Amino acid sequence: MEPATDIEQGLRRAAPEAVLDVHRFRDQLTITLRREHAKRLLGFMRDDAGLRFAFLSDLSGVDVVELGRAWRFEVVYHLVSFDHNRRVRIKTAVPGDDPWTDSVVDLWKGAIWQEREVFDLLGVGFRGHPDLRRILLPDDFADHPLRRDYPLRGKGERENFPVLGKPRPRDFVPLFAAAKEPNAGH
Amino acid sequence: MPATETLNSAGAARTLTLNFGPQHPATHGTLRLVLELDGERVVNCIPHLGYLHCGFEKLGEHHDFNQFVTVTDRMNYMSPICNNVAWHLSAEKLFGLEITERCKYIRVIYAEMSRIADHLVCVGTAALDLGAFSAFLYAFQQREILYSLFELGTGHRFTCSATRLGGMGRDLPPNFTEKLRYFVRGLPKVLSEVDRLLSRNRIFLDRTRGIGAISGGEAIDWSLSGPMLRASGVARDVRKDEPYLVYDRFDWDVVIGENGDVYDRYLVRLEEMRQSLRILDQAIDQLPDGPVDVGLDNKVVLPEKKRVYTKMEELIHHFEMIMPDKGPMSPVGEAYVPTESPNGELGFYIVSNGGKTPYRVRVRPPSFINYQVLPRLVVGRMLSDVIAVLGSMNVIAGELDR
Repeated sequence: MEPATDIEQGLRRAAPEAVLDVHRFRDQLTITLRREHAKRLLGFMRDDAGLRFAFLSDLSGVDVVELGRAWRFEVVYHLVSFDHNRRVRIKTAVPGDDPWTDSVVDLWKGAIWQEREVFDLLGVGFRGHPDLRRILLPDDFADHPLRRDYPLRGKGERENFPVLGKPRPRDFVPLFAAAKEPNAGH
Repeated sequence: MPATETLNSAGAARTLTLNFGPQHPATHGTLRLVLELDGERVVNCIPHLGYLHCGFEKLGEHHDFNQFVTVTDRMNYMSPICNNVAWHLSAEKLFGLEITERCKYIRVIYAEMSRIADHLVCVGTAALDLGAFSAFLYAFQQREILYSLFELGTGHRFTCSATRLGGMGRDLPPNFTEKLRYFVRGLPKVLSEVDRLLSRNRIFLDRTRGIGAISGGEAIDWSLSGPMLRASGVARDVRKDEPYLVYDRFDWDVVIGENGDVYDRYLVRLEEMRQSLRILDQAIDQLPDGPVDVGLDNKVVLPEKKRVYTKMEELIHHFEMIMPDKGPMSPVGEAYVPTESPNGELGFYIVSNGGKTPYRVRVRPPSFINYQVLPRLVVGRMLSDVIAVLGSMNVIAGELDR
């Protein structure tokens, strides 16, 4: 297959049924893909001689529940081609009732932590990720705060945080037998 | 640093698990590493993050385009104006605003001053961690002059919040360029002193050369950017390759290294400061006159306070800007503008559904993405090399955890 120079045409030729939406805003191209094809097409974009999007600049997620789309989440990849000096934004549509997409860790190692962050803050799983744990929030945190239905001030985590009380002076065991009362002389 | 001794997974040799941080002077912030040591050799390294997580991206959904700039200050707090510039470049891209020439130049000047301040801290503290105290003092003395200039220009030393949607918070004060030029003339002498102290110092060379090396191809695979990518020999600088503001009007060079080790990262940062001085010199020469914001017609800029108190039109304009559910409504769409911050590519991905606040704000944090390569760089090396590598990466915890 000859190298594809036009991103949209190249993707449509590689997998015609995979492209859900093509959008251009302020000269920035955004292409939305079906999640079943996303990883294969991202690999195609990385390796195709006409595209060469070898640098994964950014991987993030958006909860699009209020934007009126047929899916709940979008995983957003900002790709850069150093060879051809251009950028493109690829999105994967992820449904809300079964939120997962394929991990791109074996395409770009730089995705390891960024996928963990999306998993942590949005609750989108990445199939095939080697180490999918929470990264910014504590391991026992229950929610995914970047979802739109999570309130800005949290669900009481801060108020109900278990606090170790400050020990009172009489709880201390004296280090030396001769030690006086800690507050003596005051 | 509490340590526990356990059998390793193979059950053969005894390894030591060392908890490094989160409060440790060499981490420059609240970073925590769990190091598995065999003697002094690092067998495994697991970074733990999130000690400074403040939910900045969530806050971005609830602040309008001018309010959020104060939050961006707190991300990379070593070079806050670079964050301010990145945030408002993305916001202006979303709004479709074309800012004035003078504003572009002022942003370049502030951004390059921030870059120098950031690199000075990085070079100084990285040397301090390796035992060289003098370079640290020289660097911090120069940074102090820069912070005085920030205070003169923006009113704040540290968290400047210098930019506004469609312009700057205020114009440069009248004597600013003379003072800046005085600094630009003085810094090369200090840089060469730091250079003489460190670059051929036997101890410094032994501690940094060949330590934490990464090749160019691997650096791209790990999504590294900024000095870490360039030290590996990849000539990629957003200012040169995707010029924003007025960077294409200056004569300067992209600095690259060869081996991608700690020493090359130090050399790249040192030389980048000299290139920033070249940019500053030309920017002061070319600085045009004129307004620093797009004016009141677009209804994105607040009118001058003095006129708000005395003129009816401006008072109405002011209220229309700051009342709840009024003010500059963003167009439906999304925008991302990459910028070259001192640590690498920094950009804000803004999604808007037409409200006063963004629908979603995503930061592309260079420290976070650069930091994940650390286990790859230190596993198999000595414990003392962890400090050297950490210092050369210049991880800023505020940006790491956001």
